[in-house]
Amino acid sequence: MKDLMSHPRADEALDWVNGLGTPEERAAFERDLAKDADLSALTEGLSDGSAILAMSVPQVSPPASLRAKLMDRIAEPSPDAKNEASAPSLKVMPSPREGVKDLSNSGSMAPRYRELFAWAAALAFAIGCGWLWQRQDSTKRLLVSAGERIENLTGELAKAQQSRDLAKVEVNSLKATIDAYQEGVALVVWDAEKQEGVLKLEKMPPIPLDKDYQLWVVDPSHQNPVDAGVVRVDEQGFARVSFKPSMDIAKAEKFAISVEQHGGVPVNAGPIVLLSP
Amino acid sequence: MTESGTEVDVESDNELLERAGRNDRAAFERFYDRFSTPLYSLAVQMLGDATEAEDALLEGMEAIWRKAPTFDPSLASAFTWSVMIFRSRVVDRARRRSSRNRTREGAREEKLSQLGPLGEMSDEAELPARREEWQLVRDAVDSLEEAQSTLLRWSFFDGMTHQEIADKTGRPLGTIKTTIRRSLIELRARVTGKGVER
Repeated sequence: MKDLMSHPRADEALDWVNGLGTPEERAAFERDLAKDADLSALTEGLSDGSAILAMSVPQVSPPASLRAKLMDRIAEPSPDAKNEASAPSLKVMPSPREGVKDLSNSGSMAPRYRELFAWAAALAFAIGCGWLWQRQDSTKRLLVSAGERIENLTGELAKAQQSRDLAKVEVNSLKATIDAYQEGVALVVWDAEKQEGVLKLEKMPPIPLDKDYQLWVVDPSHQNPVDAGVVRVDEQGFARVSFKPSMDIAKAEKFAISVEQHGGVPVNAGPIVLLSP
Repeated sequence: MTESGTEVDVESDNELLERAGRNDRAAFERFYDRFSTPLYSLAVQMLGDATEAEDALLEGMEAIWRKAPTFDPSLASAFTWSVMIFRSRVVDRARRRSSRNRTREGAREEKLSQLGPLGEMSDEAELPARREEWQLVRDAVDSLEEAQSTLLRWSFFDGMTHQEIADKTGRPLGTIKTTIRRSLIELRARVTGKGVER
């Protein structure tokens, strides 16, 4: 028995597994693998180890809309298709139809229309919310406390919800969990059917440059709060953003705002500063 | 597809990728359903940003589609090969925004052993098996020594070069490479029972 870890080309094997090297260097290494069983066994072990490591992270499903986007994207010819088609390592000759968009596949167009429709609906929804918020702005001078503002706005949105027959839309106001955020106002409009929403923040305290506010959705079907994105407020502590959680939400039980590292984190780690009842 | 003369309704990962390499879009859609969750999860872990991970998934999956004709199952399994292609794209993306990386470094300081639970899988039929597989993998990663775990995280998830790791730790470059190699082989051995002795 010999230990293949001491193979003289062990470093090259690791580089290959890490995707390093020019295409020519990688192709040459692959040719050598066929001739050197020890090197091949070592490389296979390192590759498998990498794949196992990749599998060890928390599993998160991508948004369903990405599938249609990808299929539209690959229907277009690659900018460097010519170079790839002439690569020496190609095992299979390209089909004569390669690079030609398959117009007979009408099924691939349907998701695109659905997506456009969804975006149009989201835009109309956002504009509607913006109009309501403008109305809120015009009346807020009459309001004294943050609690009153929330109540007023929630009522307007609830009426709009009823008149537009948006039965799936929920309105949630978030309350401060610590004193420094008592002035802060946060409202989430959540459309469970579309799995997207709108968040508005007002009077949020300034945040250090190396931190960001991040929105979370608490869903009992997920062990951890689901990331709904980073929210950046302006100098007045104001923000209005559309969001789409990183995972499907079965039941949005609560919404929360936390203070996280700049750019956001996949799993909540910082303090929750605002939380819906 | 037939196997030993019997109809089977589940194609292997390798078969799907080979069919995708022959410009079979339906096979690639099936491949996407099977691998989008683990690859997206990898991107989320490496980039720490779900929106950017979505872009990375599109870019990486497109690269896999374009390169599928070069896939050689004698060199690596479909998943292993895809991880290689995908991860190098994500590393490039992470380096392009290196300034943001620096500010987020602290956010990824969690140990591998502290990573969270399995979420939803795209293919419900494969869910129980995948859950079991995932738990096996988690146990193997958790059983690594902390020094091994840290080096693997820096190298694999944070995209640090071996030289950068050597500079950061003050240890010789050769030692870093050897430790990473041994850790990967050890990880495989703990999951599959296979070593690399001949």
